[in-house]
Amino acid sequence: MPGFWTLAVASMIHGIILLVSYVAQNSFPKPLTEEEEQYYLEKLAEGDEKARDILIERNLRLVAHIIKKFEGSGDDFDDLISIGTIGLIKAVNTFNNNKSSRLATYASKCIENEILMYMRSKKKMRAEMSLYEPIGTDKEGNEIHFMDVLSTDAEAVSEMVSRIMDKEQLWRKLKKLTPQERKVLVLRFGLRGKERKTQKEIAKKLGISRSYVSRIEKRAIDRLSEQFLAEA
Amino acid sequence: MVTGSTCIICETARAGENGLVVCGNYICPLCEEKITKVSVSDPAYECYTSGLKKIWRCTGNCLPSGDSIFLASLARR
Repeated sequence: MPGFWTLAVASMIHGIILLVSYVAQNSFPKPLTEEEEQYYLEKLAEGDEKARDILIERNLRLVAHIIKKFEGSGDDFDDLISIGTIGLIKAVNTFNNNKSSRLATYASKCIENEILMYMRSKKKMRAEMSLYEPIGTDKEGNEIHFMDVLSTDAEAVSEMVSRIMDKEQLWRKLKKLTPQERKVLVLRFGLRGKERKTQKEIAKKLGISRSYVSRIEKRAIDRLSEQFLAEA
Repeated sequence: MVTGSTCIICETARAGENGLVVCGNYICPLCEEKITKVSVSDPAYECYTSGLKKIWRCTGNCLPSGDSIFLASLARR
């Protein structure tokens, strides 16, 4: 634990030294004045690509300033600063100089918006879990991923396949019956997604008596049974 | 000063091409365009953020690290 604190203090001192030397050198890009901003925006409109570099560089301080608002969010400062830079690049590339607002005002909104969008996306991601998420190791030290402990019921799959095969087999055998026998069985047992009907309903539909439907049904089942027995 | 014409995002050398130069760090036109359009939900978003960290982390003519800038902003309060 003392090692951690030593590292933390050393890191902070290193940051302060960098900061002090930076401020001493006065090399931190200063924000543009309104006149300078306008000048470089006009140069950019004329096609001067260097003006874009300056507009971005001289607004980097703005990114650091906006990041302050998100202190305590738990996000890494370096990440936020990069995200803010993306917002700044977007701002410079999409700014419309014909409008009355300043680039700095527009860029502030873009930088803040980029960070907020990132935070929302991260919050949403927290509710999700990757299938490749490592959840531990097995006895041999191999990494176990979330997807390794998930499975479908093997029996359910095999039953489903078997049922499909049975249906196909039945349909092949039904084709060997007379059209009338096939029709009666299809309607009676609701095959192929049809609605199941009573013998009386089938009789009415086919214009024959209920007892005749009953005889056709019995004969058709007998013939089907014979086919299955012959195959077995 | 440009540290080189190798893009800090895609790490591809694109000599003679336009693009951005931020504090001596080159961003090629392709990456610049992608940055302008990238959404936070894009799986490549992290590539852009880690690439852009180089602007803030490098020494010499570049800016101090993000931590230092944060300290600077705290110091100005």
